Amino acid sequence: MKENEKITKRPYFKKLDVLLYFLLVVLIAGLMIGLLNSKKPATEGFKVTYANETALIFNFSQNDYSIGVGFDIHVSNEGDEWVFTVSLQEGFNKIKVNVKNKTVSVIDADCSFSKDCVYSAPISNGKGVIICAPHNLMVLPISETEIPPMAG
Amino acid sequence: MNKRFSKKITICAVLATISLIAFTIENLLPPLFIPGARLGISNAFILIALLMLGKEYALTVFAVKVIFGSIFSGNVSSILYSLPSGFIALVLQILLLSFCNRFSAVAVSVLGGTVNVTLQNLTFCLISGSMEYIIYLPYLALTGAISGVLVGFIVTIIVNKLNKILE
Repeated sequence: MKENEKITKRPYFKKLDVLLYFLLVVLIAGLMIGLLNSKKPATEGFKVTYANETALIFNFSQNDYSIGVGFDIHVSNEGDEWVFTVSLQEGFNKIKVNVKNKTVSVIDADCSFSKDCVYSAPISNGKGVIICAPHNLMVLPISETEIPPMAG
Repeated sequence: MNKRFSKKITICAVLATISLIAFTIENLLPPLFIPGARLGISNAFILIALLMLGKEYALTVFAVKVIFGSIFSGNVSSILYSLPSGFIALVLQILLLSFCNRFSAVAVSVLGGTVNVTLQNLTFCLISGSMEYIIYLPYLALTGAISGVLVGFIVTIIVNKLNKILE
């Protein structure tokens, strides 16, 4: 091997890499353990917030919902499934709810090309959160104490 | 000396352009398993700039990628999350290479990838005012590490081939 090749060739692995990888494994494992010990799942309902204001609250047990003041939300219902189309200044998000399975997912939006909210895992068993960052919208599960009396 | 400087500027411009194109394409694709997770191939060109040209050029490629990439991808608000976290990750990589050149490019890339996505997640939680999204933090850190390995290998191969251009 020529000398200049010896100098410029970078290896794929050096001994000290092990220390860095060990620290990262400890960090990720710590975060995973912390996540497992986090708060209990909330399965009674879910809420949709826009800019930290509550736009919609849904109660699974009562199969009923409540829309926040000033929000434009179109509602359609077929049996166990509800579809809420939340129209905002920034655009829209379509949220599908399955009351029987207690799952919530975003099925359509015009937020960006990648549509992270549409590809997010559905909220189920009271776990998970769906966030649409460009629209400042969040869908998260809530417990019974967070559900107000439904106006119907 | 002028010829070498011109070479560096040209290579920097090419890397910035390719990084920007890769970032725009990545944003057109659906996320990897969890929202916000990307392959991170665009970061490979920042690391190549760091290893081949130096920290000033790496910072330039980074700035072009983040600012113009956010504009072209139609998600300007992402600058709020990606700019500070990407900058800190890049600074850590620069420090790691400057003070201790005993780490491989793969390890430096893994560090940068993990720190970048972790800080992006935390920044998003702080800006949105809601800590709910923090449940994705460990999974994002893991995807950041895995993409860091992939990017590190790609960078090592490319840098080993291209270093002769600057000689």
